[in-house]
Amino acid sequence: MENKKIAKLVSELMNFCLKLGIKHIKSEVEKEAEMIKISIEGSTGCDSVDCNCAEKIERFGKSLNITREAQVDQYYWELAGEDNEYLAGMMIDKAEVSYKDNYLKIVAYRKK
Amino acid sequence: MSIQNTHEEHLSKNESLKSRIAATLLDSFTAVNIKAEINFLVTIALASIILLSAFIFNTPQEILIGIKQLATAPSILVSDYIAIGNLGAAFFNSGILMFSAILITKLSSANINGTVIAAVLTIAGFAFFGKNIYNVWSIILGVYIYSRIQKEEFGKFILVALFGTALGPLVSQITFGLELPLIQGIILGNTAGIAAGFILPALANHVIKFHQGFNLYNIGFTAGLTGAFFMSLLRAFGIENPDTSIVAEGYNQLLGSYLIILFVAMALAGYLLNDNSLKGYKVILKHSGRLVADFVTLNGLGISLINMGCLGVITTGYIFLVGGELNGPILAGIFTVVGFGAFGKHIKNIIPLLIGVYIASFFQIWDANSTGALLGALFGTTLAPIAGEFGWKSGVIAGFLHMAIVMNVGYLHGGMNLYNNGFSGGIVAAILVPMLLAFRKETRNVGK
Repeated sequence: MENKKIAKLVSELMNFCLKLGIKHIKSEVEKEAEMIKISIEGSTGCDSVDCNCAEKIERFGKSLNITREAQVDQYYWELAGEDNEYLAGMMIDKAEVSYKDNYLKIVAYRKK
Repeated sequence: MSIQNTHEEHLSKNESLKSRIAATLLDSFTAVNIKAEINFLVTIALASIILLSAFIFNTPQEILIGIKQLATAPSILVSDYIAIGNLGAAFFNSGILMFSAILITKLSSANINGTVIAAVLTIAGFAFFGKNIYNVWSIILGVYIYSRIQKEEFGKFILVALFGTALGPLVSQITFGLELPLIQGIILGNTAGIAAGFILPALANHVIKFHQGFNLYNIGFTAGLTGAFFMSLLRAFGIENPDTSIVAEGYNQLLGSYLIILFVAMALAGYLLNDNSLKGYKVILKHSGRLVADFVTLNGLGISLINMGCLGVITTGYIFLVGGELNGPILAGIFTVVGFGAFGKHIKNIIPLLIGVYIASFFQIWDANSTGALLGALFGTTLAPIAGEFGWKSGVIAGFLHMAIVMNVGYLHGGMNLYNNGFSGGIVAAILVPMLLAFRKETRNVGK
């Protein structure tokens, strides 16, 4: 079950990156004794002034950093990975989102 | 030497990262705890109001007699506890079940957030027609046993346990409705309840993919399947549930005044908690409502209470507008909509559904003010995420279709799944959503 939940979370982050138009996405999952760390990164190639990538990223970061809810995690996890960023936020403990020089890096932490 | 240094650097970097995360988590943990306490106190206050209201309507002795009558009723759809017992007993039953749900949540260390508030108010509502102090426990016990076998904390399953009490009539019908000797009925009824509770968690996880989170009453769909399974077994042994329609009449003035005062007070309390403002309401209206949109976690308790109060006033107003009767089943519908005002529903995504069901009453065979049609309208808002995601026209269509489907699926579970509309909503969403998605994609492609 835990592995499936991690796969869903990777899928949620991957979906977001694809929607931003990132063409080369690097993803990494580290399973440690007490915590799972999911990293995803890539260049948005977003050079237009009109592009609202930064705004979208900020909003996504906020959604990922809402409180983790064990009961929601247990009941609704099957819906993660399908444009359900709040759910992803409720399934992780913390996310670090950085966006510099059009390069996005998201690291999500999920305590076991 | 260099490898050793690199390794040590890596370890120290890891340790520093871990302590940074631990510190941040501790800060957020404290903030979350304060919010959770406020959520807990507000929910307790609401339960106290419902419980104490019982004594406005009846004397303690009448309440006691009424409680005995409703707790021993088979309780299959539609059994109005206001008619079976009395108004005070129904309110007392509702208050006690609310307190029980809050206490179980607290004991299981789960957070009281929008999802739990929705579950508690759904229980409060259905305590007016189908859930009582006798028939909910074995289902909760079944979920508890499942959590123990899975070696997981029960708190993680609290939503399934609370919403799963939709199958309360399964326990009551077997105990009191099949003319079995009482002890045999109690044993068989509760065994069925434990079995139902035991299979719900896995099934609820599985079926949620069927409607992709566009049916808010997912347990309704799950319990519909489970109820159909048990009903098929009963029918295999020649046992059939009787058609039941016990509904109270003549309470419109009394209950109408009570509900309006309650929901206005709820909205006012929310206004005070929200720093005397409506700040954040526009944000709530932007949510599609698709699972999982916990307004309390995302937007705060204050603004959620305002939303809940507004939904209460609108749904009560709808009943009066179409000339319906306020009774136990209708109270269940209103309270459930209000509860989901903390978890997915708002005025913008429920009104198209109400319109859809109302339009259906002109073309279909049911009158808009019949109990079935009113329940179809109130509980049809389980499909609110369709209106939220695809627009009001899709919401109207969903409401129209829901009315036709909901009137046909009750037979499958013999009235033993109280969330019949959740069962129907799952079917409507599963058929409608893929089509709406396909149509939306096609439009986008054409635009390119």
